Amino acid sequence: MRLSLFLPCLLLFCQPAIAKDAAGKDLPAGAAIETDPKYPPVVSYTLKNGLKLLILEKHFAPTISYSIAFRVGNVDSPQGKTGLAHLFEHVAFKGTKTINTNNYEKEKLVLEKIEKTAQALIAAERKAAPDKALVEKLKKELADAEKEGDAYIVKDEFSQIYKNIGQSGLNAATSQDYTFYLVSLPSNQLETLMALESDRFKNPVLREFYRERDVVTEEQRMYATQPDRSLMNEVMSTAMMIHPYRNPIGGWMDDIKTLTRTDADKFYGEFYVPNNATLAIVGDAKPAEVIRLAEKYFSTWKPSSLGYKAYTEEPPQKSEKRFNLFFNAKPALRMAFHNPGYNSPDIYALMMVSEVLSNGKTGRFYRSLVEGKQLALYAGSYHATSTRYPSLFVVAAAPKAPHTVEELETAIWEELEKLKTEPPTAWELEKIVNNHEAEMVKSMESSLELAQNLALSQQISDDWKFDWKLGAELRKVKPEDVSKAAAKYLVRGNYTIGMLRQPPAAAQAKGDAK
Amino acid sequence: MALTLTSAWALPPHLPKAPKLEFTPPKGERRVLDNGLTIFLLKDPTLPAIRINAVVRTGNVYDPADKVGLAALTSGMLEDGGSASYKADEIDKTLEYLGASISYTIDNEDASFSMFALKKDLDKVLDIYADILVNPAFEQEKFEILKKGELEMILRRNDDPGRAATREALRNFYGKDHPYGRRTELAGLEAITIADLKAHHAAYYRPNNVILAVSGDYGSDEEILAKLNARFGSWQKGEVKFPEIKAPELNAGRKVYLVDKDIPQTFIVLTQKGFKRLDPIEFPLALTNDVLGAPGLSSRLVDTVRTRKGLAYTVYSRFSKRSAQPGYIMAYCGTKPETYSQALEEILKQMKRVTTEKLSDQELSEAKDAKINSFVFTFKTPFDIVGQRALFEIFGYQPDYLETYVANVAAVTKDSAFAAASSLFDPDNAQIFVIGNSKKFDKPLSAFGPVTELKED
Repeated sequence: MRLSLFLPCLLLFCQPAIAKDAAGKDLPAGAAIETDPKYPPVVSYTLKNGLKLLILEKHFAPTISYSIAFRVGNVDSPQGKTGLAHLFEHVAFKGTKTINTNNYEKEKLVLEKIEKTAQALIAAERKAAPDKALVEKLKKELADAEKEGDAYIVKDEFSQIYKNIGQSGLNAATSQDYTFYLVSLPSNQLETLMALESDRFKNPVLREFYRERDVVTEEQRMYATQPDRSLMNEVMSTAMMIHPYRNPIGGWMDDIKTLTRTDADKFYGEFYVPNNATLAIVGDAKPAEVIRLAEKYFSTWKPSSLGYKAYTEEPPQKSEKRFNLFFNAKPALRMAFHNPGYNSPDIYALMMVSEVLSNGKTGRFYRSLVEGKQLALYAGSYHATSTRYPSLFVVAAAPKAPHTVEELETAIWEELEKLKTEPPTAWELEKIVNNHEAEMVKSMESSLELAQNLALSQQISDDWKFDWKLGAELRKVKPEDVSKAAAKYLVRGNYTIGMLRQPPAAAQAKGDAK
Repeated sequence: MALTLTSAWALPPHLPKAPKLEFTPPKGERRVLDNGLTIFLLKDPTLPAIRINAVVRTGNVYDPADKVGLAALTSGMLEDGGSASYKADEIDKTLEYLGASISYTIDNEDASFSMFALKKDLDKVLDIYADILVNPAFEQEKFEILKKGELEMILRRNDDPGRAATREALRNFYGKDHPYGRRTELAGLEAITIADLKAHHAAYYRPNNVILAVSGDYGSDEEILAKLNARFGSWQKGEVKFPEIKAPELNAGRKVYLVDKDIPQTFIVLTQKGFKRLDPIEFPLALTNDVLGAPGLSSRLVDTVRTRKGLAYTVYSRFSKRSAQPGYIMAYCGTKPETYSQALEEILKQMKRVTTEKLSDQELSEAKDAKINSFVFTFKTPFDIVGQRALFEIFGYQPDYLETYVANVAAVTKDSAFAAASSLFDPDNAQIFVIGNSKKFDKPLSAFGPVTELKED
């Protein structure tokens, strides 16, 4: 998520083709349009139930883009139930009491049967000495109950409706910190969109839950074949000792197998409430009309008191951590340093550290490691893996044969040490600020990305203008601040390195054992 | 063209009825400079920036057999290797300081060079952009770095088996030496010299073989044309000769290929013969494939393999549209080895079904709605519009391809869809390519046909 965090979306100078005064005219009480020319003229409005709306008119083509973001992610999955946030996101496409079903009243009874059987199966499988016959019997009962349920299911109706009315980009994503849903439609479908989405979050029916759980385990299996993802997961769970960021976003396989629909229903009740969400619409729609429809369709969505959530704070790292991940792929490395999180003023200097090192072909890593010494196939960095809590500053690199990960590690450390003693030049810093400005312009091009970014920034940073304001924060960072931040955080006592390499046997067979 | 968006198929009764939507997208201007350079223009004053894409008729398929990778290295060196008036390092510094960019992509039969500049920097960035396209310098040091990077990528090409699967499936489908099937190999790449790049550039990068798509806040059309003419006007035109690409020998008869690899998921790729670009069979096939398995969340393959059986996260079918020689139809699936045969059997069954029974009225009507209603996204920005026009012209489509698209989709009937599907889909003879751990397979792969075991290379 490089773009939406560091180079998020912002339009500085030129506004989309709308007249601001006209845009604000017929807005209802409580709605406000942004008039500061530093920002796009976004209309904000909050429903009584706490649902926040952000609306930006753009009128080239008759299309609208929608995103709704919730402040709930894998960190909020209960202990022993990692992956619940992600699985919920999958089943949020399974319809409602009136969609994907031809008779919810009858279906409900079967759903209860499925749930009872699935829970009995999990209990049987979890016994110290599982009764194999019982497990098989319950598996068959579950399959039979699911088949019985099929009679009441209208297959994939929710996504099919979207397809029929011309959707583009229908999708959703879960991270450690948040979950968002998005779609673009022809603009004449605004009301249909509001009807579908409000129904989806007010009346979800988590049908086909156990089959979708299987789909999710296949997703995890696919990730497990990918070297880069496997290495990064290993780095997260090694560098993070106790904070839930250590868990893979999709969950641990063993946890996924015990997730139940009852868990997901409870999770929904706790987090999928209007006061935990921001809904953004960008495109060919009148803000007053969006607000009217939001009131019509979303105002009956019940809020709840969002409970106080505390997760074990990650203690300071005490030891340097090094590991080899044996994987049938060519070598790569990931280095990680704990960062102080977005609440720390140091975060902006750390963003600059990362950008000085790896922004483009004039970045220090590219100059010295890919070109100069020609050790690296690639070398990059990122200042944070997540946003809600302190996370990791990461360096990602791979050596070019015949060079090794060890040589690359040494060369990267040389660059890090150099930055601590040689502050960046004014040119290096100006370049980054200029890049941010250009990214803000680009961020206005895609309505769908913009909707997503507005909703996420509001939901995670409590401010949809976060990315626009970032430019000013970056301008304040002085060259010596960058060196100081590097010296403070990029140190051996705060360091984890994971090296991906061939399993010893495979490497030996190929004659390049190390 | 006016698009009328509506739904033929009824929404569930409790959903609101959408009003009709009329939209006539602008077409943009088409101009041709004296040297044959075609330019599509559409002003977009909403953002203070300009985007340009140059599409070039070149590509991997034209590479000499002993120097595969030449077209890709050439285009890579246009981006990286400097130009007559600008050193490569100077270009990097100027572009990155301004937040501008120039980058390339290369495919089988086209290459693209895209440029982004803020309005205030247009002249400076355009100078560089034109100079690297017309007068590239191919600096020696940058060439060595780029080439070594490409060599390293060859060493790493099997690291991600889910990706390797589609490449290797097509390689075996078309044949390892056919331009549509072959890969870049170490020896061929090593053999390429800067002289080769210069010759390739001289042969293909001619104004009459390039189309520019230009959009943004560039003042008037005449102003930007004057700027383009000043920079590209002296580019020498020249006849471009394309080597003949022989039709691939696609042998009938089921073949099964296995790469045995200890990985937690099994990747299955089915391939069969598709059509050549510009064939109107595209429309009935697109609608059939929409029902069968087009990427997305609702299709027969998703419904059966993913939703009902929970056997896969990724399952889809797709087809190539733009190859001059017969393309392919492909189905792809990632599934656990212990149940791989169930997924494969289901995919084969669904592919067979489109050749034995017609689509239902509702399925065809929904597929048409989906295509027609989402067509508006073809025009979502001015740059999208000129970009597509440039691409369609490069590939030789009729100038009214976009204008007639909706009518062509609407004209498809159950019979024409069935005729198209019956003539193209042939699962009994489809090639099956599998990467996975055969020790865990629930059924021997030989149940699906004669198996050739391949070594990963």
